[in-house]
Amino acid sequence: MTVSTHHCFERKTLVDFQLGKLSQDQITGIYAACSVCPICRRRLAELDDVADPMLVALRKREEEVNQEESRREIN
Amino acid sequence: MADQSTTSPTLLGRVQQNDPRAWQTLVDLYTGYIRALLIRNSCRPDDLDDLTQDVLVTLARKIPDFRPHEHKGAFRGWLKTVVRSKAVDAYRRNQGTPSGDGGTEARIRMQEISDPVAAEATCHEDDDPQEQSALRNLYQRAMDLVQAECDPSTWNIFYRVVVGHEPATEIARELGVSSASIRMAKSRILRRLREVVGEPLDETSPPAVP
Repeated sequence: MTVSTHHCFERKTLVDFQLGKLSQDQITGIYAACSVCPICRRRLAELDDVADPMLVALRKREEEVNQEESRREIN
Repeated sequence: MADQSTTSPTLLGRVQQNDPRAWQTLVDLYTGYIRALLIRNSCRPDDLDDLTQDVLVTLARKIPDFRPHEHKGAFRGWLKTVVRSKAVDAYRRNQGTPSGDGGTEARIRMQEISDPVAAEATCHEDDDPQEQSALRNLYQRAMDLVQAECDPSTWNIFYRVVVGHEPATEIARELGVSSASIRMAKSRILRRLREVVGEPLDETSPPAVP
């Protein structure tokens, strides 16, 4: 019989994963765990909308680009 | 910062290792942002080119001593300190000379900047529209750099889920892959973006062993 040694990740770690603040090895570790642990998978999915100033800026930049394109089309 | 004895994956790490291409990338990325910060600090338009150069020279001289974990907000926070110092120097040089533009608001800013406490408060405001716009341009340039490194399909996933704010589950369903792989692509590319622009990273909480 195989005994699972998985300990579910803390919320902060999953938030850091969503924000891209972890090392590439840590990202791979969480990806692997989420492939087998439904609890971690669900918790990670619940954090899909987490954002920090950098993510907000990336989205606003997209809005700016779209607005510029719209203005160009109108003109 | 990671071990500096080997090639660092971060732009700042490579600059600290005297990689000339990394330095050029940093200059390309940050020149616009530095100018926006100088304007924010009420520097005169006529001085902007010289002061931008002055900031870059100071960065080149001091960057070997920069330690990201010792500076709150990492590189940008440190950069703001350097810019503020140069703006104060410029103000002192120009004291008594009317500002080129900006009127009363600019004069108030000048008075604030001569007061270190007020200057600290002023320069830590991230809600200035001009600075925010410069920051978005900085991120755009960083995205261009990272996109060039990435597999197009991975970049497309990142772009849709982060910039387009599409649900990971929907993209996964459409592409016939797991949601976890979508989230991993997002996380990996965000990590690269942070490395490129010198944003704070957190590797102090290692994940549990699966």
